[in-house]
Amino acid sequence: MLRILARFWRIPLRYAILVALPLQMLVVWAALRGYDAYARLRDYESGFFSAAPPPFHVEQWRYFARDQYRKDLCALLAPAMPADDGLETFSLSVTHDSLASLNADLPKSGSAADHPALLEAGDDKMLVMARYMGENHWHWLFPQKSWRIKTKAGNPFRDRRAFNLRNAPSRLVIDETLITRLSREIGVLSPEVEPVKFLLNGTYGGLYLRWDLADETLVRRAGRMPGSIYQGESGPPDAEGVSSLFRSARYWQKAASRNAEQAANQADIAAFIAAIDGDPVEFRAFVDRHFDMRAFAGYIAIDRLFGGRHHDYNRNHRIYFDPYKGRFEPIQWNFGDWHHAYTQRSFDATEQPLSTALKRHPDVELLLQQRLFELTRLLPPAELERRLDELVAAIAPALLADVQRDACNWTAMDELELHAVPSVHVGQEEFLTELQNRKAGFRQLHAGASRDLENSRCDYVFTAGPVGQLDLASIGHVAQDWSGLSVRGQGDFALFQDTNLDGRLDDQDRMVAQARLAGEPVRIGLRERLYPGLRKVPTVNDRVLLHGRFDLAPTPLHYRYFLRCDGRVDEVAGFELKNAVTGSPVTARAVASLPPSVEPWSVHPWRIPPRPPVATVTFGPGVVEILETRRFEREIEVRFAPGTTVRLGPGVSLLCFGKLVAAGTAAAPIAFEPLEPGKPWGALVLHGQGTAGSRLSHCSWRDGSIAQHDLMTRTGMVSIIDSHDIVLEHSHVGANHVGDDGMHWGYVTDGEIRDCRFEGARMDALDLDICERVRILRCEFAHSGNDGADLMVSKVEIADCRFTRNGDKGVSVGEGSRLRLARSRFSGCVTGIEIKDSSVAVVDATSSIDGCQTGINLYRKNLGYSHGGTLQAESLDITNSVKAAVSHDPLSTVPANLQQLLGRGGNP
Amino acid sequence: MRPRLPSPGFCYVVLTAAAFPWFFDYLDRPMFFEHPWESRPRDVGEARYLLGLGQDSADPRRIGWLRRAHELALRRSEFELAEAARAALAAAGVAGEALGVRELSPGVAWALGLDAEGWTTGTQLATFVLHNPTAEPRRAILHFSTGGSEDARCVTADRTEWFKLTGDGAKKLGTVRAPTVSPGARVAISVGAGAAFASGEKQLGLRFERIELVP
Repeated sequence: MLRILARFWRIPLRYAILVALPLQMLVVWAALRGYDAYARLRDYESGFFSAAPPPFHVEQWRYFARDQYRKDLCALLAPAMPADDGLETFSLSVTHDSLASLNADLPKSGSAADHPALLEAGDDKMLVMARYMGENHWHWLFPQKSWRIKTKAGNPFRDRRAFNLRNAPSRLVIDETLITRLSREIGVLSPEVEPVKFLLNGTYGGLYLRWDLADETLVRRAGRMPGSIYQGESGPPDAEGVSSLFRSARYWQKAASRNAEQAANQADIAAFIAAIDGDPVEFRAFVDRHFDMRAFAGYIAIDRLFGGRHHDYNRNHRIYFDPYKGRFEPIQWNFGDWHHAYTQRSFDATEQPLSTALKRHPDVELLLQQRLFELTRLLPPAELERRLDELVAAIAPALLADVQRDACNWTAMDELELHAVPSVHVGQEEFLTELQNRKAGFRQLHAGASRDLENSRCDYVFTAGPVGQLDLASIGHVAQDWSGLSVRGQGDFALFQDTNLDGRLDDQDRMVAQARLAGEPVRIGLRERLYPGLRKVPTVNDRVLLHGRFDLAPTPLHYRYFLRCDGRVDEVAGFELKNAVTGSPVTARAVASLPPSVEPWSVHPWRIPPRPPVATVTFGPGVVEILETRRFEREIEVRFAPGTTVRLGPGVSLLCFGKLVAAGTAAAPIAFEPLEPGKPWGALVLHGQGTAGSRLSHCSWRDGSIAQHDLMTRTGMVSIIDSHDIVLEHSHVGANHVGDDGMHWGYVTDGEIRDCRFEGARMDALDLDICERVRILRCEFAHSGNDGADLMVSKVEIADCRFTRNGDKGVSVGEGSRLRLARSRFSGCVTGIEIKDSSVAVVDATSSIDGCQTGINLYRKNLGYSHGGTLQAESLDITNSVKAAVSHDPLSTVPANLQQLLGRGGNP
Repeated sequence: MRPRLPSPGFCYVVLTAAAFPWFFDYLDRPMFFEHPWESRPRDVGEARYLLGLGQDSADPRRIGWLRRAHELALRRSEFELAEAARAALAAAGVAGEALGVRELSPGVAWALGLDAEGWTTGTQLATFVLHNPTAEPRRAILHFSTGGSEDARCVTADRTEWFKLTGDGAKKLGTVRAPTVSPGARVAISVGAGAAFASGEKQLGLRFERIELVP
């Protein structure tokens, strides 16, 4: 040993160089890899906001060299990809030529063309087309690429035609997963974003996110009608440098439409944008008619609670328009980073035109606050931490084995003045630190939002006089519910709102309470709500294009009440006020003068026209001629007296947004017919939850057509959309024109159609879309041009019905529907029952199908579905089928003992 | 027996072996921006980096980099670094009043980051450089007022402290005691509001009222 040391002590230089060479090569290797990584980013030509790379500085090189060194260290020490951790594995096999082509000239080459690939995931194995995706460079500039996978026509992947496998850009990886799961939980449309292990050509490529597209398949899976989906991703800057995305519909791309014919029609988004950008009072009416406010409130609540800043003036907007309900819904998309500190002035971490237009109306802002409050209760910090821990535990083994894991480091970009954000290695310690930071940040956000939701105050000034005056200021963030007041005085007393805000008592002022005063304090019950307002505060934002030039901050709103008394009012006290969101008591404070309402930007609630009073409109009995389309808002109950004959002019429709009661009798039925023979009238439309409880009995409709209103087209002569608890009985639905359906129900739950006859429909006699718990009993469907009953995404029970000589199917059970059929008869139809596209029909033993070309047909029609139909039966009575008693494609399921079930007659 | 000196080869191997871990340790050191916010290593590191970017560069952004480097260096009393940034700015044509440094008391006190009325901008810090030309140690008391939040902070070479301005009416007053300045030495102290308040279009912080020199 000593000899070795002695020789080493005297080692010649030439040997020493050889001995030292490996260490030196490692150093040079690390330095060169660092430079290579630095140069890759430096040479990326399109930087963020068109910035140029900065001059070289050794710290830049060190940053990238350090990153490569840490990656290499991780690769040395990382365990193998786990096989049994419970996370799904997506394996993509792409030829080397294809990979070379994809990487040849990034970014163009990455997305220019799709390449054939083999996808294996779980039990699924299929040929697909693949390419890189993502305009932002972190999807393709670094080793972990993000992929777009497209399935071949007719072979969807779990009912999806395309999806992304994304390299998660954030340190936490699963933040988007948590947000999208929460979104779906509270009823906000959202893609699935789930962590998976990704293998490329057999090599573990790391932890990825399987990310659904916001397309038609997403809305179908969510039980919605296919309709328009718009993407808002970029608008040019206006004169102030703020994005114009919300100024014109032309900046929005249509990603999906109701059907091919509607692909170019942008009337819906144009109306949406025009409303946001237009008069606030008209916008309010538009919201009532066309916004699914529960969905918007949930979407905005998530943004508020997590301090989201990604849904801004310029990007990450996805909007769906339901063509049946006529309502817009947001789609949760690319939520991005959560904030770490609560700095919001009025709940939102960034303003943007849609939310600011909503917030401008204090009653709408209250809805948003109420939804936020619900969310804070659903998701206290402990629950958020539990969900995070659960997700982290699920991905931990795969993440440890992911030697390529990286995330965008925005801080590095800002601090090093880089022109593009680098995507750098995230070590286990950094990941865990990020996890703790998110938890701590959420505690702050939750506390901040909760604190602001309790910020509700009220000051008042009482001025006695011949007509006393009570001025109140609603202060803070949240409105007050005012339920009572104690008044002491003498005489007949009445309390008036200064409804027209003119400062004096006049005829337009609404009386809200009255009482007789007799010296002792009298408690006066009230149902008033006092809303605070918002004002614009100029703000310096570093990214004006995205975040605009102002914030909204609370400012008091003033409310004046007049106290009219033929005696005198001595004192007002005992204000009974509660926080309108949390229910916490609010103490009204007497002051000498109210705090000023500083440049309120909010619309004073008393300026919004009140809802019309509840009323009833009755038609008949006798002949009633209607010459132009009539519209009855939600507050109006429409009644047709027994023995009424309604004659409607050409194209004239009845649009009912409130309850309809047409209770004819056998002796005095109610008829709807054209005023002029040969000139069809429009449609009878019941739309919205205000129509719930409608009853139609002993009615008949014939020779109607379609209606167009409020961005929607009604294809049924009688259309009932977005309602519940509907009963139709002893009625006749006759021939219709222009449109497809004699009667169309969409989004109806808990309905019943009994003892009715449907005859001579132009296409489908009865069309049910997205309906649940609907029963059709003892009805006849005859001589329709197409189907007797057409079901789509519906759960229906049909019993004791007859389907006779319909032009196509007796009953069509399509797109994820469920039918329970009992004691019914089919005869002379082209197909008795057709079951398609993941639908299930349960047919009882007493139903019969006779003389149809095909008794029961099952197949996969819509290529967006993976399966055909399923038939469940214990016995089948199908006779005299010209073609087949039962026919099915390989994707459909029939009872194993089908031949036995068929029994006598028919052909297998 | 006289010990033999090691061969050059041995020295070469030892140097390489020592340099090897040092190199990777150097690589693995935190970047300046990974130090805590408003800490001395962060500010000084950023100043050095920005000076490196802007010095001898023709990049159109260099003026902003050098200004920031100058400001950060002053804030942390890194006067040589500040002087280098100032010289680079002068070479780029930014000198004198354009530098934004105001002389508060000739030869004694200067300020960077105040507007024409003496206000700091929002929550940004204004830096006061104090020079003691006398033969005795001296201190300075800086007086401020505000119409906004009572909270404010002051940053010296190596620490940050919070203080409060007080007052019953709309105007609140407060003072900051600068560190003792040795004879012939310089010290920098930076002060800023905890929260901005709006006055018209402007975002204001603290208003510098006066400087009081005490023995």
